[in-house]
Amino acid sequence: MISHLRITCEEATRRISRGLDQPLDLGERLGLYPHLAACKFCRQFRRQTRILHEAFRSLSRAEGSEAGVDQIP
Amino acid sequence: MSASTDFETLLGEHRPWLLRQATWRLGAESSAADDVVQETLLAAWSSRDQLRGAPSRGWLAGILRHKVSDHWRRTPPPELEHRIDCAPEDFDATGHWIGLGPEWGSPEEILEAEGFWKVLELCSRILPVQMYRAFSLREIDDLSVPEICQTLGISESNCHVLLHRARLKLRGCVGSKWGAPVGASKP
Repeated sequence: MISHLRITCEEATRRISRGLDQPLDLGERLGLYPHLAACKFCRQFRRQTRILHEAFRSLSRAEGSEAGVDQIP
Repeated sequence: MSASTDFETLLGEHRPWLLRQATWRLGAESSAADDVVQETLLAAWSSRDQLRGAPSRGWLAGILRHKVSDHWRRTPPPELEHRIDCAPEDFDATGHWIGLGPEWGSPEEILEAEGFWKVLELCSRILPVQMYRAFSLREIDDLSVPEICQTLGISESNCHVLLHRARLKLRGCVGSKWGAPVGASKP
């Protein structure tokens, strides 16, 4: 049962990436969470892709906040 | 000064900011940023009557996003890129990491660091064209995967592959130029 859930790091990163784009289904999460608990490599990948996500998202957030300022006559 | 001259002046003030926004969205194609911004300003100028008040960044960014998509429709990604679908270089034959990458520091620290943004911009330009198009639509513009597929004319599975590879490549590139070696003590 457990070995059935075992996934490679490459597959784990695929699911981490997918998880940033849409909710993962139960099957995807079941394999991913024990893998992450045991694998510091994939935890690092998840940390760093989240930083990339934050960084790129902030580029368009700046546009929204400053838009308000620009509308002041 | 006439009202239209005022509007032109206001648009001109946004130009440097629009260029930065276009450059980030275009990655390796950033040489097209000037043209895209020019088209954005022209379109903004033609719709000035629909706008009450001064042009805002939010309004201009909306036009810019359309102009970037227009550019992509006119410029298909290079044919050779279809061949990049080989296994990512980060893993060995059994699908496990070849090595641990360097640590980057805390998100709060690095997002404030000018050097990090320079590295990020440099790395955004080494990504293959179609890969970065998908990535920028997802991460900068917050489009959903179905919306990206529609914009780029690709399948959902292809989109997930592109986003996964983009994240692996960007992370690898940033790590090679920014991160502290593993085991190095933090200040």
